[in-house]
Amino acid sequence: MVIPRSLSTRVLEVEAIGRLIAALQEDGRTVIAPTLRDGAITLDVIDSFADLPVGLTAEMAPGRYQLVPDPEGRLFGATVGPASAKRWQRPPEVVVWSGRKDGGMVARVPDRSESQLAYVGLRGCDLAARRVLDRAVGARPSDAFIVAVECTRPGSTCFCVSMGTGPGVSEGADVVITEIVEPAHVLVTRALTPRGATLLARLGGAPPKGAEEDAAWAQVAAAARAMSGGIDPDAAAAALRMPSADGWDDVAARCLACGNCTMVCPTCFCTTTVDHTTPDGLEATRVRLWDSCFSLGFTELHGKPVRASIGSRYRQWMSHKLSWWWDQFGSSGCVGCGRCIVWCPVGIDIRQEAAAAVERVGVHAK
Amino acid sequence: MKPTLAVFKFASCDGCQLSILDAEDHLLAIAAAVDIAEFPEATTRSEPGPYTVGLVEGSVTTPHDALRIREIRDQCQILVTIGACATSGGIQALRNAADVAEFAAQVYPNPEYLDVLATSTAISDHVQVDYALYGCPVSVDQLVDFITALLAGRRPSVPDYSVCIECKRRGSTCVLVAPGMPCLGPVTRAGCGAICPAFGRGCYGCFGPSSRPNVASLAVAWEAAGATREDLAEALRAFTVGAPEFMEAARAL
Ligand code: SF4
Ligand code: SF4
Ligand code: SF4
Repeated sequence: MVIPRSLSTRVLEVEAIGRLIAALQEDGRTVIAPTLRDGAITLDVIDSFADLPVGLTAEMAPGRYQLVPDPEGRLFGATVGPASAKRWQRPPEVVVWSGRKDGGMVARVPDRSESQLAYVGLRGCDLAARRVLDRAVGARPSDAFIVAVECTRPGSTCFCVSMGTGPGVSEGADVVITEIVEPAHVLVTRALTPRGATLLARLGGAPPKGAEEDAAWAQVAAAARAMSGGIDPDAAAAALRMPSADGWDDVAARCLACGNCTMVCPTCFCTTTVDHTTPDGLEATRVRLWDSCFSLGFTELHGKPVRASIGSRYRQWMSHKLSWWWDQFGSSGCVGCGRCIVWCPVGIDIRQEAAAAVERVGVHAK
Repeated sequence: MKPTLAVFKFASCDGCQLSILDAEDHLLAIAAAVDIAEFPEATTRSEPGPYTVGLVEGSVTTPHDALRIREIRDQCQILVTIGACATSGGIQALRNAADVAEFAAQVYPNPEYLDVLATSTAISDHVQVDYALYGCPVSVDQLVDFITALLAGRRPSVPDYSVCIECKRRGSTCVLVAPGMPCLGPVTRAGCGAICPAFGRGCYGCFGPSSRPNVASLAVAWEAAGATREDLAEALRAFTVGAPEFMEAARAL
């Protein structure tokens, strides 16, 4: 359903976010938003406006993350942090079923508790990642309420433009906010769904005068223009399906096979299954845990690893993300959020590794 | 007949045995399911073998140890090493790269009464080991889970991946990337639940090397975090210094 712009766009003062959070909570939702935790601005449960990292942002580079003050005092100054919506969409640890010998088996239905959540502050790449992850694991999209934020100041590790996922938002959210500081510090807010429009109606605010809305459009467009580099998805997809296993020694020498990249990636979905039983043997529980294609044990078939070298594991990960994912799930597995670049302890940059692979096989699309 | 469980101690601090006692409620349930035939930290009771499961704490540091572990192996259907000492030689394996006589002279007034080997070695250097549980000390949860797995006849799950996996599952902010603090997590085996980074400090490597750790590359990350290669070598020369991957990596740094 198309919501007429005139009805759904509102200019809100910054404090209106407090009312927005409260309204979502009144609807029985737990609100997940960027907040300062353990020295990083990351998604987590928040109680109120006071939990937002106002006036704080982060500088990110390969293998580097640093909190810095935001002189403009924005609410959503920092782009994506280490946690993505994957933490709730497909949690790190889930009980799949449990049972008692005398009481029969209790199968847990697939966890839909995400539908009780409201996200505030997801970015374009995050929304794309949610679609990609749902498709990959064959899940129906949950009913989580989503308030997205468009990026006006992407970080140096962002490359959503090249992956076609941001910085503007046109789908996948109920409400979209563009936070601008010029001509005034306000939130230019629009609804993309009927329930988003209903929520906005509860918050008041004025229809846009024009200047604010123009500024919002212009700043998002400027952000897109300023974002350099990234990945050429077609060239990378073609290069990575070349049958050559050569050329991975350089990244293998640097890669720790620690798995951090896959853990922070909002679309990496691999898991392992472990069973627990009680000493009396009467109760059993099966648990699903996040796992990573970078660990040696993960590659074991019949007790022997099929990807013994680190280079072969890096190659497996990157060629799945950027190439085979298209065949399997009809899209790229990478949305260009840059999390794997920032949170790799040795700063391995998927953009550079993809470019190197393209270079090696001499594939140049377009 | 209930399976029998025996706990044996070699050169160690008893911390792993204490971890078994820490299992509290679980311990009572385990004691109901197995016959505890030998457990020096808990009881003076000592039943002769053979035993279904033998848990071995500690490393081999004396000629007597080297003989005794063979006898124990013969008596145990399933032999399991528990903790850093049993799996890699423990902190006492620091002497493997030094002169044990010199150490002894510094510690004991009459070192001539000692009869020790020049090295402290893992149990698996002497006999075949069926399973290994790592850590300094072992994780209580992992130990209980392991015993219940044996009781239920399912394959115990002991991770070979890095501490980073547990760290991220837990949702901690990476201390190596964010404040830029040295951390051994990327080369250390998971199992502890990534406790240290959750409290804002780097991993100390208690669970020993993860499978095929890339220590040379971690050195670059440590340097970026303001630590030196010597600092990294020093950090590797700790509870699991005897693990070949750490010993050799420390030497190469
Ligand atoms: S591969 Fe890296 S940049 Fe791409 S979606 Fe995953 S974490 Fe983000
Ligand atoms: S690319 Fe980086 S984060 Fe990923 S496994 Fe290698 S070292 Fe770890
Ligand atoms: S804090 Fe240490 S263990 Fe945790 S992810 Fe970072 S490097 Fe790995």
